[in-house]
Amino acid sequence: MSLLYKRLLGAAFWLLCNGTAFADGVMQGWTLSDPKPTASGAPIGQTGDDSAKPSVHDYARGEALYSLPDVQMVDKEGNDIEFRQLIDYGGPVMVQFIFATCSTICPVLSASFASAQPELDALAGGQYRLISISIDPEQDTPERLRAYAERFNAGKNWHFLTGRRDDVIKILKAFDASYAGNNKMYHKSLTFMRSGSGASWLRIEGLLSKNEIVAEYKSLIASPGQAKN
Amino acid sequence: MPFDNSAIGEQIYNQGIDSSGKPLEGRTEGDIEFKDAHFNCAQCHRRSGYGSSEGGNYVLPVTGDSLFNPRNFDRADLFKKLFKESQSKLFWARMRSAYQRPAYTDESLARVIREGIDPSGRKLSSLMPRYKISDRDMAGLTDYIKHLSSHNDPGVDENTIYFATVVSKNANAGDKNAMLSTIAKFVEWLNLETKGNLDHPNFSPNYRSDFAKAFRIWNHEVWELSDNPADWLKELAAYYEKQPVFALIGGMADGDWSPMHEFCENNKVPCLFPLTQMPPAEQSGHYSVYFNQGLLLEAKATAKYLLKEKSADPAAAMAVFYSEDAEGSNPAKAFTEMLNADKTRAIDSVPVKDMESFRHEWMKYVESHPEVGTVVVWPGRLKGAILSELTALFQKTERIFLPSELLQADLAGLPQEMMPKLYFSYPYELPAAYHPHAFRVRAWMDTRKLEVSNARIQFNTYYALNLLQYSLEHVVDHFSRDYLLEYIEHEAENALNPGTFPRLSLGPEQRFASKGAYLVQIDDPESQSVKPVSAWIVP
Repeated sequence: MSLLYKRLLGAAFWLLCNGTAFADGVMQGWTLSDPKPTASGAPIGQTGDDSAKPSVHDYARGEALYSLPDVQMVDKEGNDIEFRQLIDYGGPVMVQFIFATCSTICPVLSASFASAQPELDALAGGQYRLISISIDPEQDTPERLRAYAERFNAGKNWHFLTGRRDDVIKILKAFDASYAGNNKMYHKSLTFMRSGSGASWLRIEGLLSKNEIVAEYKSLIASPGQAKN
Repeated sequence: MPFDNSAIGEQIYNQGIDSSGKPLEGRTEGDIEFKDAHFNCAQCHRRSGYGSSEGGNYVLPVTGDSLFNPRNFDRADLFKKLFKESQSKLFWARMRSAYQRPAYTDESLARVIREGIDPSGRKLSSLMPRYKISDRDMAGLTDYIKHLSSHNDPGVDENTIYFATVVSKNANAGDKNAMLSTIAKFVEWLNLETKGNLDHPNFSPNYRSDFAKAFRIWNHEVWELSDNPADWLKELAAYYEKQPVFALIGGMADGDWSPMHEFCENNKVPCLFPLTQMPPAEQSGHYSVYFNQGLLLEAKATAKYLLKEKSADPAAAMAVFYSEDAEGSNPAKAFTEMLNADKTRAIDSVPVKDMESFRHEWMKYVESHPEVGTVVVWPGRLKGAILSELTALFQKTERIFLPSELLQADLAGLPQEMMPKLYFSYPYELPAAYHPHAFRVRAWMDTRKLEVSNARIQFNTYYALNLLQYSLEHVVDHFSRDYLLEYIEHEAENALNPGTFPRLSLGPEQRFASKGAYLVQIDDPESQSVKPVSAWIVP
């Protein structure tokens, strides 16, 4: 057997043994080196227990530090809000990008926030903030965001922001959440969490169940991210 | 009363309300319970049933034809998702997945809706909710889905797709001509291209032959309406009966657009981007798509500008003069309502019947108010003569706010000292703004020997046609009007912005593509150029 043949056979054997694990890794969430948006990893016709999601995540997790812009936003009551002040209030915070007329993923993103509220109240003693930022700010007036918030029974810790489109774009860029062609239809399913001011962000790409969002929050609080210098 | 299966099915599918009047209940993402009518079938699978793609998630079609037959793949149907959408590699891999399933039956459809298990035994993505739904409601929903998009909508046959443009006799002739000549050229050239493709079935650059079944020659007619708006609904019905159209494109009528809006809703005909200043006051329709809210938007933007003014003395008198017709009173009402929210402001509303009464009321107002600060005028039908009338009346006021339409008048004849007092709402892109692709519209017009006589009208018409053509291409041969509208919603933001508005964008059930306005003053009356005095205001 020639050396080349042995090597090829060895490579094939390695792939056979490790290929499944490799594929699992792909399905658990992965990142691309190209700038295209990564999908939430739930394949069509996925397997999984119907009563609860499998322990294998359908989402990608990552950690990052983001430098957030000083921009003025508007909340659902029509009040001017300093974005940095809202985020850097000291306690844990979660951020999602949504728009109120979105047909597929935003309702599920918002429903994950909505369903986690009671558990977060119990866990955090009311010391947490959920922030949903509209990526369609011209359409999503404070009035429309109020209706959206009502639909999801948003509690007092859940903030909804709209504002100038350029400022929303700045925030999207800061979170590395820009989407192709400035067409909001290509936005990604992203949830960001942080234990407190200065800590690094947990970046989650994909859709989360209630238990997953709560579990991620718990793990975040248990091991707060490294503070910035 | 017998139970109407399909009606209750439609209600569940589109509105998420079951036969007992309660919102749908279920679970999504494994453990998120909901009781929310928004989680209806149409939210993701859309009214047409042809599905959608968003954020890397592919929502499959649920039309009767696609569910009650074994799954098959049609490259033309998936072409856009495979090659044109900005999606992830995993999304594309899923698009190409050769996963097959047998046809659904009533029983297996009920199972997939309740348990998320398809006829081949696979579990669907947890994004697809698992619904709690009674047997009776399931029967209704099944019946509705079986017939969903089961045949083409009216206005299309084997070879031809029919469109029309509504114009009223009393609309400005030059404006009408600018719009109609653009449409005529567009249709002529598009049909030449289509004929070329049909004549050379084996010559297929850019995969054209994949779409051969979708090729249709556009037949475009002008539906001219009389001078009497009361007859318009009847006239539209007569045109439609003679030759149903798949959609109305563009359009122009002097005055209220409501009759056309109503016709389109009643007949489920898409009415795409009519050039009107008066869409219906409330957005209550599904089938009409507008550039913006016209005069109502201008009224609200002006009100917001005045509300935000720091320097204004809220106690200073502010008068709103408006013509009693709908074109004057609708914006005046919207403006006054918005300003009245600020209780500190005193607003005097002055309705006028005609130019003589305008002059009379103005004089009376100025006499009774020694210091007139701000006057807002919604001239309605008097718009043609109002500026020249104001040249004799402006001295005793500080500022006069007017709608953008008046900027099209001859401004060069206005007195020099009047200019600084005039403010206009301006729901368009500023002349100095740069849109990198806008030159393509001029290039298109140049090559077709189409003179630019009214850039805004012609560019807007081109935008609407371009978006219609693109969306129709991707509907392929599923000639569903709802499906067409869904593509238009999806792609409005992607389409070439010809520079007439800062941004054009829609979304599911959004029906106004541009949402704001500037406040401007006249910069150079000779060239009719303007300068902004505000940021882009979204009321």
